[in-house]
Amino acid sequence: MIYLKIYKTLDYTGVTSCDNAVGEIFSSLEDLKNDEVLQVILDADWKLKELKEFISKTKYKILDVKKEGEKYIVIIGGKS
Amino acid sequence: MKKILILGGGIGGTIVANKLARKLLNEIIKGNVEIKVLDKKDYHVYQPSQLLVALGLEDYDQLMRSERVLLEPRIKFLSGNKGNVIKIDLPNHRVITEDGNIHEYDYLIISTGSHLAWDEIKGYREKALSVWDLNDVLKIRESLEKFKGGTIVINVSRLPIKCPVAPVELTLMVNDFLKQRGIREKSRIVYTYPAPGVFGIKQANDMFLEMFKERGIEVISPFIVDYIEGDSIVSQDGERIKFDLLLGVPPHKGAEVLKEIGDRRNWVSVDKYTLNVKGYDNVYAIGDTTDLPISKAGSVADFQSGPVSENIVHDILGMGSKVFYDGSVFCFCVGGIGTSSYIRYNYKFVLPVPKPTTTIWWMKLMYNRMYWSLTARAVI
Repeated sequence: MIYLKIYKTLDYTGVTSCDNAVGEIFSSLEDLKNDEVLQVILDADWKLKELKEFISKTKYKILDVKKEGEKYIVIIGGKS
Repeated sequence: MKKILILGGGIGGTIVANKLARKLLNEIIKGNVEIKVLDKKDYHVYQPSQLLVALGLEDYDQLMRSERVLLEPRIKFLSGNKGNVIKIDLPNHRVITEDGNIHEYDYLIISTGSHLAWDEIKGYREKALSVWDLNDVLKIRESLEKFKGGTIVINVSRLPIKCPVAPVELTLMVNDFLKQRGIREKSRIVYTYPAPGVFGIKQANDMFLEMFKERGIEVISPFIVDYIEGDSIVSQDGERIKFDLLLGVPPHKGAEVLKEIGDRRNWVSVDKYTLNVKGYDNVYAIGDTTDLPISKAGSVADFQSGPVSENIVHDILGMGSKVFYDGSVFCFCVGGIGTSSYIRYNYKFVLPVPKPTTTIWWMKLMYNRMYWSLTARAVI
């Protein structure tokens, strides 16, 4: 079994930055070490869709998406 | 005596220091409170004006003032090696400066801003000029004045950046500048951004995309720059754009001194409502310093200085109540030379973004002038 450590959690619920959130998430992904993942909290279907589309074009991949109430908990890591 | 220590004499540090000094004046006079600001620099730069200076719309002398003059006279201010912080010791409530002095505190406010990490992208420093770098501001003005036509690439390398709307403003103003000089038709303007669209707030993004389209400005996004080679900017996907002038925004990082208490980019984790550094009730971080997913902008630091100063004052005076930061952001967004809109939002809602007008443009220019006499001094 491989254990992956959450490097940090980014809470993108509600209104967020004038910077595009997806771009900020990408920058945090670039800081990941090999055994680490990023946890992202989202609160809208369109945010999840945009993130999925963006990540699919990068070297990273979405490892897990859980729905908790109105929120999505997304785990992103490096491509194996 | 209660000691309040503020790290950084930029927009956030200056405003919060002045707010505290005004609210605690009687306690300072009685010798019950001391407010001290530490900064390596002894001058204060109003960074939002750098864009206008680069386009020749403001004078260079509008950018800087003496920090000592901006601060209330009863605030202690140390600069140079006496103000250059080399270690922050949160568990022991003390800060060490380059001259070896130890500064103990009861309350600490970290407002050390964001800094440019030019070296993270190969070739970027050699080829790009940046409005975000004070040393480049006049070089950009000169380059634009000498420009005879060709391709201008505006690139945002990574997010987050300070003043996130400024790349869009720069693009729209460069378009107008070239038109005024009669060389717009001989020029190509390409906007490259490391995420979908051109901007983060959807309403404004849609408006800007339409404005870019009307003006013939090309948008390539997402475009994540990998390196610069010769006169080409190359993305991680291998897309290559040749430029005659590259106006770039380098990656940003928090201050080096925050390496031990921040994340890998030196951003400090804070509670989004109290702005307390996690794990420390007497330590706050404001402005660009934090890892909050809200804009890194002077207005944010200004808004945040309100609850932070209130809560420290309440604590010192034993008033007990807490004031929370609601995520407020206000930014003017220039729509070209002579027009501006604005964006106003908080954690819960975004106000409608108006079409750019001349009236808002003049309000923006007035605000920039008033910054020195009113905002920085915490008069408003």
